[in-house]
Amino acid sequence: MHRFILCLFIFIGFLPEFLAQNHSIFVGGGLRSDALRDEGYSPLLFDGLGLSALLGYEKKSEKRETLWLLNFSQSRTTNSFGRELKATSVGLLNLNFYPRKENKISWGWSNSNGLQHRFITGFDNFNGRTDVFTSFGPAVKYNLPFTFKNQSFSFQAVSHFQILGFYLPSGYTSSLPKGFGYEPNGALRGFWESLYLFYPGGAFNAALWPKLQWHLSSGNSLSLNYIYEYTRLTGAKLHARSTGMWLMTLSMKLK
Amino acid sequence: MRNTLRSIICSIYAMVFIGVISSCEKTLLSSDPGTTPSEVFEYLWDDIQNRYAYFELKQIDWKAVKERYVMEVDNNMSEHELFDVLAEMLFELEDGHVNLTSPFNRSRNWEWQQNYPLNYNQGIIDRKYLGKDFYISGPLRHQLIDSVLYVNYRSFTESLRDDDIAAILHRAQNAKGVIIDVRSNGGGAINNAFNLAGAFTDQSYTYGKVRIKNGPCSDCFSSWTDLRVPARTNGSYSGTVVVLTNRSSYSSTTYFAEMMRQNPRAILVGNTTGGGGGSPVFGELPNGWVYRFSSTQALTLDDEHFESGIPVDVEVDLDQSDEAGGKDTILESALQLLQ
Repeated sequence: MHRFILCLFIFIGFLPEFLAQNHSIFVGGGLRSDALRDEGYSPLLFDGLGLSALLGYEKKSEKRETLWLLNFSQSRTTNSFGRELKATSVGLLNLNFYPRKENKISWGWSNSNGLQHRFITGFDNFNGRTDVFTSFGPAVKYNLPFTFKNQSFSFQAVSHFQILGFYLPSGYTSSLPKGFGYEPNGALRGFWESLYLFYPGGAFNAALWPKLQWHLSSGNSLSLNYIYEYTRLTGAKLHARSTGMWLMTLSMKLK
Repeated sequence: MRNTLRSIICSIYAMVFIGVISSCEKTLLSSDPGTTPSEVFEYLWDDIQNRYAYFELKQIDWKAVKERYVMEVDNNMSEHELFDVLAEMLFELEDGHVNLTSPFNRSRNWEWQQNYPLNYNQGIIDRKYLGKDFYISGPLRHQLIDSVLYVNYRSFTESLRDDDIAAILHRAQNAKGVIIDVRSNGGGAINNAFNLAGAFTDQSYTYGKVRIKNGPCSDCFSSWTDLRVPARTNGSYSGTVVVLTNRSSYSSTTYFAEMMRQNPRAILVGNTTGGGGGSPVFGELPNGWVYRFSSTQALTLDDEHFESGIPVDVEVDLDQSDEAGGKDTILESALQLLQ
């Protein structure tokens, strides 16, 4: 019973803040075009198409806009000699902006988290390689609202550039990060020994996300998005990836 | 009105711009490396130099090997000629886990078995020992011979289920012993090896240690990690096991031999295995050919390399007169040990 009362107090405590903000969730999906190179497998470039799904949550108040974006993607790529590589990725992006009324541009910060797994066909051993990274950096948003035939539209462009963080790449030879698998380590020590510092020059992750949004009278909106993301992790073996996603999203206002 | 028009034009420009760059994902990564014979040769030599695990054990001077073969490479040579040069260079590694695969050929070094007597005759096994009424449990063929269960396993690439192991353990209940024949078994999945070995012990045990190349320097390796045989959870065989090996018992079969050698209930009969102690890693050359080579080292508890082969407890060769008479000398020796 006392737990219920505690939860109720917490809920009531956060209620005014919740009511002062606009909340919306959005879902979407679309096509992606991937180009990648993993020197743990091959010096050759792999490219191909795939699918992406997107789930997001946006919270807006007068002084701050926060966006959480969960993205799941799969693509099938081939190199110029026909070898196939399947790429799967999960990304969680957090964007925070501090808008000013008179300005179309708002600045903020971002946290980008990614898990990228690759599987190459025709290699019997060490055929899966995975990278995980988390990083922080500045973000910027440009917002241009306009009306056309009495309908409300906006053109938005968001960009983030990652500066500092850490990442765990696959090993020099092995599929697993260097602190695992062939090392007699526990999870914590293995994690520590596998860490690489994410910093400009050593690793790179940036994205550009323009979208054309049609604001419906219900408060919901439909958007056509293009998300371009470039990731370069110079771990034990270089992994670079350049991805473009065309997505349709539906944003639903919660309040 | 003017602002609205400007906004629409800006948006259209932006989307057209995006449309153009959206087809450029590929161009934002550097282009593929060159595919001239010299570039392909250099790439292969470099990767082997950086990631091959057995230069020291085999006392191979890889830089000297390069000096010998680089002279044979010229950019006007045909792809068949290039293949031959690369294949000969890789042959110097004396490693059955080293191959170069092109659309027209696959290079290999099989001297680890070809320079030795075969010591296995499948026809004799089929006709004299397995006969017509042998059991087939997954990849295992088994027959009771003079109250001894003879089990023949041709390749560790064939998946071994626990039901298959249960089948032989059930038949072995009243047997005087079990013979596992892995002669000329060229290896496969290591999981099948330790699942089978685990059926002959009631306690997990360490049988060796392994490390992997983790950097380009010659002594860049991970720490040594124990290799263990997990005991089968659904019961095991407690009698004597004889394992038959020959020089063509390779890779996972070498591991299996060492797993059984460390089992006090097991006796190894036949010949030292062929080796194949390094797990092969694969790579692709700029011209699309695929190669593989050993990237790990494994040591026995006596600090001997698996790569050099696992010795047997009782050395026996297939006698030619026995073979001519349809008899397997090695299997007969094993049967005698178990009587």
